[in-house]
Amino acid sequence: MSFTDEELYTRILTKDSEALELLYDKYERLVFSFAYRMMQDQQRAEDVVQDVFSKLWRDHAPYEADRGKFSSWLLTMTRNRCLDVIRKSSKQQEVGLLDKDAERVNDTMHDMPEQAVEWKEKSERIREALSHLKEDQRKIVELFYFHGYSQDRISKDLNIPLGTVKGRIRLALQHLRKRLEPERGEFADGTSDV
Amino acid sequence: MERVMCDLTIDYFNGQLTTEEQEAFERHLESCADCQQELAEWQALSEDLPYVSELVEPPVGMKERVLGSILGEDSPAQPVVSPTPVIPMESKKPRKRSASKWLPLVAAALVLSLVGNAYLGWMVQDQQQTLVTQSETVDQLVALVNLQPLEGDSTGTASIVRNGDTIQVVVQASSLPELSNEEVYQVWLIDEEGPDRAGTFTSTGTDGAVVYTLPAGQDFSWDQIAVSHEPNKDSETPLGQVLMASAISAPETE
Repeated sequence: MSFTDEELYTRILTKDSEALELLYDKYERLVFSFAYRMMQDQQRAEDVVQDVFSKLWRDHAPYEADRGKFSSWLLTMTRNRCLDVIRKSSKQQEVGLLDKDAERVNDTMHDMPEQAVEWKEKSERIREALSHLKEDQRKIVELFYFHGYSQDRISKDLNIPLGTVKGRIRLALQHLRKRLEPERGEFADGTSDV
Repeated sequence: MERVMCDLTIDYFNGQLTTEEQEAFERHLESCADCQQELAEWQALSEDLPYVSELVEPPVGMKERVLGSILGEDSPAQPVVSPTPVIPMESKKPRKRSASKWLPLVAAALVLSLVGNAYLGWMVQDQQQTLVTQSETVDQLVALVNLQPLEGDSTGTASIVRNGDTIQVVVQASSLPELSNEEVYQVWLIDEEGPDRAGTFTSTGTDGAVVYTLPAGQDFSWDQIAVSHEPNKDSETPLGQVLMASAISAPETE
């Protein structure tokens, strides 16, 4: 028995707590892993997971299927919530170093939900692609996406002119995309197959 | 002026604008095709980036904390069946199933029961003792669970006892709400098709108990149990508030 994300989402709108639990089970690890990457702290990551699913349950966060995949939407919501918390606490971390208190999922794939397996495969590909970027390009991706810094802050941190920030981010992301493209079923409109 | 707005796309995408700036930008966005396109571009270009994150194991108990908190705060809105009294069926009509109403409730109860209810622990032990010492024959306790309060603060336990081919469901409850007129407490056994009646009882003080014997030869095939407050002893489906519920199942016999 399995439901599509859209079906579960629709049931959640009617306060069907079973649907919430099913959707939670499906995305718990993914949302938590991403939140942990953003927050670099287990407790704060868990708070974000709580906020995201709470918003889903209570506020009827508007997901529209024709605007993209549910998982992308959920991850965008997760990122926005993380950035919100980071901004409010103004505890912005230094680049890179993750504290390692969260237990890594071990390499055996037993008991891994399908999503986790997909994640792992996709993750390997994109990290491989990232490793081909120049150091300063990796850094700008980190500051832009995972730290959500303003252009001004990026300009100061990397000591580059403000006017060049946008162009450099775009260039780095386009390089990354080009690296990924041959390896996945990429469509011209930018949607991906996973 | 417009140029300045168009320069804010990244800061908007990263949630770095003040509330006023954000509102101004969103007004601008409605009419600026360039900015709409740029935003879509950032979205598309960064779509894969969450997957850079290493997969990590969530902390122990996170699910119970998260869902317990979300559904717990929401409990007043739990779907409780219509308060309108229903005339009892005269003949044995096919049972009316209401699985769709039950499932959310049961899921909530499940989550709550996962959270656990330590203070009932003593009661469970106590009951186990009693059953063990009383079983001169071959009474076998096959399951024992705490009933999780859903409405009000009633608490209780439910157990399944097997004696040869006879299976009994024993429910004990305390802190029950007051009954009036013909009102009773009704025990329900629930599977994915909906609830089945499994005995009614009334209270002495605020405590009550009931032993329900399954029809001969019938296996215990349900997976949830609930107790509701009914207008009378004839409700074919739950009409009143569900006081307590829990997951319960009987392991296969050899």
